[in-house]
Amino acid sequence: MKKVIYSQPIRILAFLLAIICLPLAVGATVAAAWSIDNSFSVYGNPQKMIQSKLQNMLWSYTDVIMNQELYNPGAVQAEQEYINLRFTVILDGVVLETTEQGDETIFVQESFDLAQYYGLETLQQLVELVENVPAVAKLYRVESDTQVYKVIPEEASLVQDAALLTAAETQKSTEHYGEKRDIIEKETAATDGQSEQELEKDNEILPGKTPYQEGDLQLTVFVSLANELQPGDRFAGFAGFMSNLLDASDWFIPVAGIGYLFALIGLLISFCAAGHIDQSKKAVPTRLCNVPLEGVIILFGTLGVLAAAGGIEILDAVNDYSVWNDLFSAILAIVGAVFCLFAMETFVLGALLNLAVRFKCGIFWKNSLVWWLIRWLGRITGKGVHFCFATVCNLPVLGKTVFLLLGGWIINSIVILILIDSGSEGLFFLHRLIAATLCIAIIVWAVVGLKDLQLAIRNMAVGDLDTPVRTDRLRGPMRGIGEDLTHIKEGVNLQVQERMKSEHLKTELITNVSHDIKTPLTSIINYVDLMKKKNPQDETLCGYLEVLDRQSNRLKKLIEDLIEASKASSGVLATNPQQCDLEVLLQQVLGEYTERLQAAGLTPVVSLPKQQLTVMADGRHLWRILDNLLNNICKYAQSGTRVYMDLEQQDEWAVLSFRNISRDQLNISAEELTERFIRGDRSRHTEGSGLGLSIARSLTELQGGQLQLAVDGDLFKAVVWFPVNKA
Amino acid sequence: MSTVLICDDEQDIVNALKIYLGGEGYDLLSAENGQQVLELLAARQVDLLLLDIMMPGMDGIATLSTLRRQYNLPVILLTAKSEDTDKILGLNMGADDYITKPFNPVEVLARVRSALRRYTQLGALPAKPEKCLAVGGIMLDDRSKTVTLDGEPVALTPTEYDILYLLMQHVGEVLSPTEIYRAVWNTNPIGAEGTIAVHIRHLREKIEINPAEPRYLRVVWGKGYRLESDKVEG
Repeated sequence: MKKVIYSQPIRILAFLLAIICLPLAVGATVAAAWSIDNSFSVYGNPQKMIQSKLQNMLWSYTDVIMNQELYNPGAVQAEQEYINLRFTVILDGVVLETTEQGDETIFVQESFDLAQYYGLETLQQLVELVENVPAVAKLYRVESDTQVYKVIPEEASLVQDAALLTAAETQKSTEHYGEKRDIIEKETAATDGQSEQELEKDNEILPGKTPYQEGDLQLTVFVSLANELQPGDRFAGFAGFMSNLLDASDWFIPVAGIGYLFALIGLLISFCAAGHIDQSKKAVPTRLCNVPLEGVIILFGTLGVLAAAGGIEILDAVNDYSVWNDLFSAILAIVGAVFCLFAMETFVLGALLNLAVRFKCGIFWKNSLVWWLIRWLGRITGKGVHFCFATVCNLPVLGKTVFLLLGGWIINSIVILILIDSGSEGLFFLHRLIAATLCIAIIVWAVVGLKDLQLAIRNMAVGDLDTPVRTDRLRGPMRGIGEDLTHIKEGVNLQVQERMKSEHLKTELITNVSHDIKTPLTSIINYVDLMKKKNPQDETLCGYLEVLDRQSNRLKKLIEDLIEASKASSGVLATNPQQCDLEVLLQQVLGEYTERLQAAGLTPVVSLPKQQLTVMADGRHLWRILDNLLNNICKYAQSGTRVYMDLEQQDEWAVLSFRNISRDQLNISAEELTERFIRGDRSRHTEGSGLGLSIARSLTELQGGQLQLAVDGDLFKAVVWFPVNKA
Repeated sequence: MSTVLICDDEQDIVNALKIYLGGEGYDLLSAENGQQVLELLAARQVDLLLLDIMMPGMDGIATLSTLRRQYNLPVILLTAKSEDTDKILGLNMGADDYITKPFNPVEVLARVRSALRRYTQLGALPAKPEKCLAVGGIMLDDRSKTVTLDGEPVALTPTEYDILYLLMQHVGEVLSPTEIYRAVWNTNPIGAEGTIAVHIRHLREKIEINPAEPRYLRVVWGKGYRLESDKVEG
């Protein structure tokens, strides 16, 4: 179906249909309206046509007089009087127009002679005026207030059965004239509108002139029309045509309806098919679409207007009825008018179709100057804005802040200036309110953002790495800071986890491996012991067994210490802090070590405080620490010396110090001694695993205390600090 | 003679223990895993079980909990796992004693002996006379001023006896050295707390199989001393 519509012949047909039927329909509608309205009857009735024509001319003539174009300056004498002019035309007894120009005045002389005043030219012009009316109208008499004039047409050929008015008739009319203006009836009665009388060319001033009076100056023009319209008379042709048309008035409405229908179909098809050249499914822009929209509108608009103007000119001539004299010119006029009409329609419809094509292709605005202008402007502005934006964004934070502040101040100043102009209190208040609100909002936002950041940093400083950083309320540079903080936190978290994992692995390693070592070690110790029980006679064998026994025991001790050290340093040791009396502890420890000290030849010297000193610590760990320290003393102190053990309180700390003289020279610093596997004896040939001090330090620190070693020549000093617990 | 069942997945250790215990004259049985233990227990009358914890298949703890539903025999756990938690777990599950590897064979023997004595004497516990105190395997008869440990008499000095008596009267309580001194010497101690520590140590060496790991007489460091009745470690 669409293909049929889109084919070229159909489209042309539709176009023509629209062009033809639309004016036809419109014309029929107007005709129908006219036939309903009485104005149509005017065009069917020549008299009425002439009447309306005269009416129009009367207006223009009155204008001329009122514009004082005919005023004869020479006739004005010293004294002037005002005259109101009344101009009446009576056409076959029908008063066409009564003009009252109450406000317009004419200066006249005292002894005013209308004829002289008006001059020949006036009446001549009146004649010409009337002569412009169809030939059938004859001006046969002109009357003023006081005078009657006969107007005789110039062309004798037009005169038909002209008869001069007799003086008596004139008199009669004048008499009537003075009294009342019932001339209308009189004249109607006198003349039956059928006879044409000859009018004298010369203006004869008839007797009976009465002096004019102030006030109205009536000028009456009597015109007569012939009932029969002469063939060749333009009115006749037109009137005949029109009366025929009037007879056909019944057809107007159906014709209008059909015309509209066809016009509609034609328009629809035209618009649907617009753009689908070559029966393409999609609308394709025509070459005309490349012309900008405004160009098309202007061009076609101008052409249409020209056509319309041409048509109107022709119509004017038609309206003048002069073309109705002969059929040829009438047909020419009609053809010309129709041609102009079609031309105008073509231009208009063509333009509309082109617009439709553009619309269908979606390029309605795209090919218009306006669009191009806007696009160009937009591009320029866009580039400008983009450039500005990029520059601003690339500024450092300080630059951006300064820029924003400056911009805000400028805008504020402009707004204030505008408001000063307006001088409205309310607006001023509103402006201040808005400015204050904006400032407060910005500051609050900044402070909130800072607070969030501060909270996040505080959390991190405290060690809480789990709470996420709130970045939802941050904007701009602060969001960047927030995100950096999150990254730092994640990094730290990762490191901590790795550390913990490695510690955990270490501990697991040590405990598992130690277990695996202990099992074969057990067997070694057992069998060595069994061998010893056999009591071998061989001395050397005994010696070897002794070595085996000693070394395997040492290995056992080493393993145990290793486990202890790893547990203590990794912090997985379970502590059970309780209130421990340090004095009691020291006594207990001494109790354990009395004999050992004696065997090593060491004399303990103990100094205890007067008051009770308690600390919150795990008693077993404390025992272990002191055990290690005293063990060292027993092993490494010089025999025959004293060992000083002091317990005292210094400020908030409980201080337990052990001093002894070392048997061997200590060429290691105190700090190194506490490192794992460092032993006082570099050659490491004596007993001990080297872990004792390390374990002691780990255990001390685990419970919140400190272990300090000091080496002064041969004096070895170990001090243990613990925070005093206020019982 | 009593029958002792030794269970360990390490054959060397089993053999070594067999040699030690065989010297004491016990009848010995051996097993390598928990399953064998249960089978043997069902088959024979066993008086004591030496059980290793780390074994493939059914480990020591599981074996222990299973056999404790049926048998009341003393079980001594032998293991390299020396953590406190392990010890507590083992003892809570029903073991009577716990020895860590590497062990002192003499200690093993002593513990076996004491456990057997307790077990065999359990049924024949003499009626406690009035002034007789008993804590675990320690029996103190105040009338005759004698102390027996698992049936065997222990020689104590008068001071040590008094201290032990005091502790047995307050079994499970922590007594500070000052309190002990006051109770025993009836005067306030003035700088003489050290002697208490020494006495305690002597006492410990006498009544404990392994004084380094005391079972009864515990030092509560920084506070005092306590006599334990239950096998609670740590």
